[in-house]
Amino acid sequence: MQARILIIEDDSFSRDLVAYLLRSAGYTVLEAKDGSVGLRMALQETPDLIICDLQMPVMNGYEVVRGLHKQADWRKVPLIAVTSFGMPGDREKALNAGFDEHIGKPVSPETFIAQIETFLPPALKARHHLRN
Amino acid sequence: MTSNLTEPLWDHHPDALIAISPDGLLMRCNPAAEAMFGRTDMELQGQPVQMLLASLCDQNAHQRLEQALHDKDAELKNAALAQEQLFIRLSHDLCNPLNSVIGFTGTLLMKLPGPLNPEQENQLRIIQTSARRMLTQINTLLGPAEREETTPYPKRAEE
Repeated sequence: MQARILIIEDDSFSRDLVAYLLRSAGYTVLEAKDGSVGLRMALQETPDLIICDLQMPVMNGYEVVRGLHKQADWRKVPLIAVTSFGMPGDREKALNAGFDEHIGKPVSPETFIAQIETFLPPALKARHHLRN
Repeated sequence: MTSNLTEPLWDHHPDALIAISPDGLLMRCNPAAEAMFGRTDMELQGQPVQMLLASLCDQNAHQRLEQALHDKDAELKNAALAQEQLFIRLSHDLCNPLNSVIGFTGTLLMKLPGPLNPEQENQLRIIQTSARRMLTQINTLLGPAEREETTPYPKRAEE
């Protein structure tokens, strides 16, 4: 079975890009347009991996992580931060906040799936890998 | 000088009171004066009053200067913070559209949606190169190194 992956991203085209890449690779994609919706979907849908933008209106990526960790029955899944501004210390800040990885925009379509898949158990990886 | 009768008035008077000798030396002062000069009655006794008052004026001027510096400091910090937030916002707003341009050009060049003819591929590579060049320019203009140089409030060593 392939992983179900939740994308939490306020920029619709950036979300479309990540969703397209994941679907092309064979994954099931869930989409949330802000942190608040994302947090609710993460708890209801229990995805296998979450890709989350950091700077979002309503609720940012850090607040999403804090919200997830507050839940007693939260089952730990890989959390990947995708952020549009690479400032010194961003990566450390994201990792310290509880993210497992930090990927800076622009997303590289050639390597994105491989980056994500390092956080998936073999049983959940898609059979049709992107090749380039 | 004070008599026993006026002693409580002297000690508890809210204003600074000082007794001066004919040659201009401080003979004694009350607690309010001690607080004003920042020294005890014993330390002040025998000091030329003119000098004490002059140093007090300096002190007030110094305090006003300190306050002005403190206000300026806060103003500069606010300006630096506003500039930093503007840079982050600009960077975010410019990078997101470029992320889509670079990303979807990439998916087309990877032929994920379907095959390309050689001319389409050539033109997509031009878009990709131009978009990456634009991203480099944005990072150069709004990047952390540049920000550090243009910030109106340089970080001090002790911070």
